Amino acid sequence: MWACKRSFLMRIWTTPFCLTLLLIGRLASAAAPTTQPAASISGKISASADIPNIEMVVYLVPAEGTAALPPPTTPVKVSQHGAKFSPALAIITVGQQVDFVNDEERLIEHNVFSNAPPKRFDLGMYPPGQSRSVVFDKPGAVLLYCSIHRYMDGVVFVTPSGLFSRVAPDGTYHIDNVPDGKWTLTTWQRRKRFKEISMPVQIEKGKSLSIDLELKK
Amino acid sequence: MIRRLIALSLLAVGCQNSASPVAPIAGMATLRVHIVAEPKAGAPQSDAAVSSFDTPTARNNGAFAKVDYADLSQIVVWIEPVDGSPEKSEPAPLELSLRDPAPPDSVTGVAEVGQPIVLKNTAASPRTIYSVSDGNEFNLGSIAPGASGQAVAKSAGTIEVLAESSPDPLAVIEVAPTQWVKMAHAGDDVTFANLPPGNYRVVSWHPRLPGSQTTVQLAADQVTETQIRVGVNALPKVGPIQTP
Repeated sequence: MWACKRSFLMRIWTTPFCLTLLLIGRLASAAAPTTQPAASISGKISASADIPNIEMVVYLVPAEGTAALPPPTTPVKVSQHGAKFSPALAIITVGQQVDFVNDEERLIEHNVFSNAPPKRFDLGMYPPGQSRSVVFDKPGAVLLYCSIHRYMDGVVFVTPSGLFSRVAPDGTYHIDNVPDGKWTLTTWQRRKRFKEISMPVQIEKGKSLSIDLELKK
Repeated sequence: MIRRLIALSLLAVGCQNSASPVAPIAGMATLRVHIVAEPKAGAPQSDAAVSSFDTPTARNNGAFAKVDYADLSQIVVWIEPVDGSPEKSEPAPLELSLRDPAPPDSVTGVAEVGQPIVLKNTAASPRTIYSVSDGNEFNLGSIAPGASGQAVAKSAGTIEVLAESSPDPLAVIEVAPTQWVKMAHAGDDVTFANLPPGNYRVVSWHPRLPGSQTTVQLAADQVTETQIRVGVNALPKVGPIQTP
């Protein structure tokens, strides 16, 4: 029965991208309250092949006329302790600041640099007890490295809207507080093993959506 | 015209290491590129506290291992004419054997746009070989042990050759927009011989470190030398120092 309601409750534009996905939309289980709630988009991601441990983000891109959320004013901290970026995958919003903290307990200098198109930068060498900051002003994946430690790598994934979910190990995702409007639901894999999915969705009158996606080769 | 035909027939072998020179063709140019890989200025040359953590399993256990700029490999160098594209010969296929995942941050081979890539499954069981790399997507289906499938490098960029059930790519191919492409090591001199005279862009690329580019003018019957760098020093400096 929910399948019949799907086309009424979800407006999904037909795009070539849709050929790559299996879309199952359904009404959120909660009945609509009298005041308009903040909508959510959630679902589960499966893959056509058994590839373990995919680090993945699902995020929303605002369509024209849909306002994104302002970036959080609190910086995200990325540690370099033990010559590892932690978190190894930091997900932020365009305009948000990341503080790269050298919190080594021994006298070990680190460097952070990226050659990624959304943000090319070099923070130089700095010792324990210091931190350096970067404001990420363009969306996309910014791969992080240290110029002297070859196995130090991480990524800052900059979302355009602040509406995102890191996919859980069981494949589920959940994006809260989605305003009404037209969005593009998009996937990103840290190590791309499947075609990314990008599909239009629309939130109307605060109604939540459940969208399952299948990644394909 | 005859000279041009001869030159085109030699393009496939015109990109070479300086150790095995190709006989120059009258009227054509030669470029010798010196590869310079350099650490960031101020980086410590030795650090006992860090180097004691150098182990072959460093990536797995998270321990330290330093970038050795003097021994840096996986550097891809290519040149391309600044003005227009020269005539191209039909490139020979790039043949790769696929068995184990490629080492992290490695380049298995280099190719040019339009070059066929023959992928041979040397594992003991059938494998579905595919790529989802942007602009170079393909799916060769299941390939039996010992059998091969063929794809074509469609656009410049990196191709990760994937197989189902393997979390890491079996091969990483860097595709250059030109037939003059070469893998090199820090300190190498790479020679591109029998080039039509003109202005060329020289580009370096590395899977981890930023490359760079420069422009050279090549004259007929002359050997031109240049150098190109790999390292972080060209990146914009950002971020004030703070105390957390």
